[in-house]
Amino acid sequence: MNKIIEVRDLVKHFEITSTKGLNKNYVKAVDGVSFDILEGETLGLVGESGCGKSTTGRLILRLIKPTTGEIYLEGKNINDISEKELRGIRKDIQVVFQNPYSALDPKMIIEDILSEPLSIHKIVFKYDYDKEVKRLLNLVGLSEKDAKKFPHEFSGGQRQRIGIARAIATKPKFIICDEPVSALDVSVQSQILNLLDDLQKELKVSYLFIAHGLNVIRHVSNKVGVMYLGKIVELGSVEEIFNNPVHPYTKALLSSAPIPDPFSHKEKEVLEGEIPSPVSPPSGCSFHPRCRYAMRICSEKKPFIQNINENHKVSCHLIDSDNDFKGVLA
Amino acid sequence: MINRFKFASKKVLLSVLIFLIFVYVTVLLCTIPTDFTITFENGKATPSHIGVLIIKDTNEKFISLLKLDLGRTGKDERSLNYLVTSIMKNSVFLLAGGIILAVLLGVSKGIIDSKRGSTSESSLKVLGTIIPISLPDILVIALLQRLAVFLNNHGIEIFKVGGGGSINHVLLPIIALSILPACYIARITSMAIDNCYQQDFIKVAVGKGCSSYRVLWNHVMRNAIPSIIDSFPTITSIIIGNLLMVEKLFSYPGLTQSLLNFYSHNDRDGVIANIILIGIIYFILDATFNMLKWLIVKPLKEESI
Repeated sequence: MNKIIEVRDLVKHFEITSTKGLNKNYVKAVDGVSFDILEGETLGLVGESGCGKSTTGRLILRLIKPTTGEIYLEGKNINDISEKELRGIRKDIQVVFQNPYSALDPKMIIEDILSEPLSIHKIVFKYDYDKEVKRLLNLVGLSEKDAKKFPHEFSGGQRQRIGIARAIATKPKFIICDEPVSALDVSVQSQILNLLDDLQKELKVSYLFIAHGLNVIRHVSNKVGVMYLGKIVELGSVEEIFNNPVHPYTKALLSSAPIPDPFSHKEKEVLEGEIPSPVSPPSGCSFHPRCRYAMRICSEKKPFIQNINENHKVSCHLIDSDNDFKGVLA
Repeated sequence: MINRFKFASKKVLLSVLIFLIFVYVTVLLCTIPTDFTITFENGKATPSHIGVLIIKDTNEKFISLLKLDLGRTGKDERSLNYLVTSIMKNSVFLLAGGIILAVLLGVSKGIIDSKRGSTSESSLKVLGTIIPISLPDILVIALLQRLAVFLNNHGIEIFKVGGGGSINHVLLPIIALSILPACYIARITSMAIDNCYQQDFIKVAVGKGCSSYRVLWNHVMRNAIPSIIDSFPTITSIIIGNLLMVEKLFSYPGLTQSLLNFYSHNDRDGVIANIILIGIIYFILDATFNMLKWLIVKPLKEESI
């Protein structure tokens, strides 16, 4: 399968100035992220709030400019292209935001929201806009009559369907789903996830699925990237990550997920302390202050991401240590 | 539709009622003689004029006003209705010009001042708006007059420093009247635009491939306009408040100038007529802005409910 998206050493540092205006600091929101997404594949990105998941999505969308690093769309570097060229490329990369209430322009009717990308990218002829809008609405399970309504006339789930219809209007190759179900009721969440799944099968679109919920990620993803403080600490197939997690952070994250069994007495690996400040991340491995297996090297040297097997990469010193890492982490 | 009609009728009736109360109170206040006093003797209050007569006078004047008769001048017994056709026309022209210029300048400056999605803010642009707001009207007028004198001395006779009668006379008063409201509109516009740029639907619009021009006009301004229209009633108050100073210093033959003349001649009917005509202008402007709000802002407020 072809690579749709390649991200190489993506870095985004936001400049912040102290209240006195003297010291300049940088929030290292994304700090050297690399991954590939194949055609028709879904990469799930998980991690705590503030770990850089959404920023990674926005960097790929080029809503913000990366500090360094490269982003390739079907082999073409989209990092150094002009605004005009970028506008053309936006046809192939679309986004579904977390909050369906703020993602739709409140002053536009649905017909206008859906036909705007059609007119910008000349997807269909002008006289076919109505037909295409109706087709898109039907595709996401809404009625043709809804075209003349304003966003406020819909429920959260319906609005998210409209957001998805808008995203697929340009027939994109890649969609960034930035926590698309977090703001929805559980009953509606499954409908939206199934809709995204159906659309992927039908349109062969690739997804970058950003979420907090591990269950959601497990349900929709082929590959999973676990992010911590701006870095991907573990990347692998969904089976590898969920059945054979290696990084202590991934293990703690999986362990913290509630088990729907009142009689389950599985010991939980609770993470201690707070996520460090991205302005001054810890030296060496950024996870070492919270890691129960931390060694001296962890505070001295940054670990590199290494292959454990064909479908699994991890960034941890434990796999290099003399100890049998599987034994330590088991 | 019927509900809308009922709502509109209620609004109109309420405005008419408020206007009639305003007229009655104006007439009553102007009917009270300037030498009116109340003396207290042995714990008893004695007014210098009989209250019932004042009320009777007020009622008679009020009824004549309802018959659209503004009265007659005290000096030459001329019908005051001439105020409507000549003096009021001048003030309306000045106010309309001032408001239109204020909106055009204010919205343009607001767009320039706004960050438009960028993280850096130009303090200079904001200061350029805030400083004129803090300047006293009299200073602005004096500066404009100096500018006009300077231009006239150099053979550029576009602006007339005072008086009325031609378009050249009205240019400077319009500019003077529009500067303060324009700065106010500019602040509101720039804040509304910056607020819109933080919304997800703007990021979606950029993600759709909209050009920055399209994002600004199709999405941002469409959502910022209600906030700008919301500020118009304040603009009306500012602009009518400044009218007195502008007409006086530019010797412009308008309603407030005429009001001062009648007041100095102690002409009750003239003062009442002027105040009511200024009130009519205020109510018409307010009704116009309310109508705009009703058409544009109300649907948006319903959305947020």
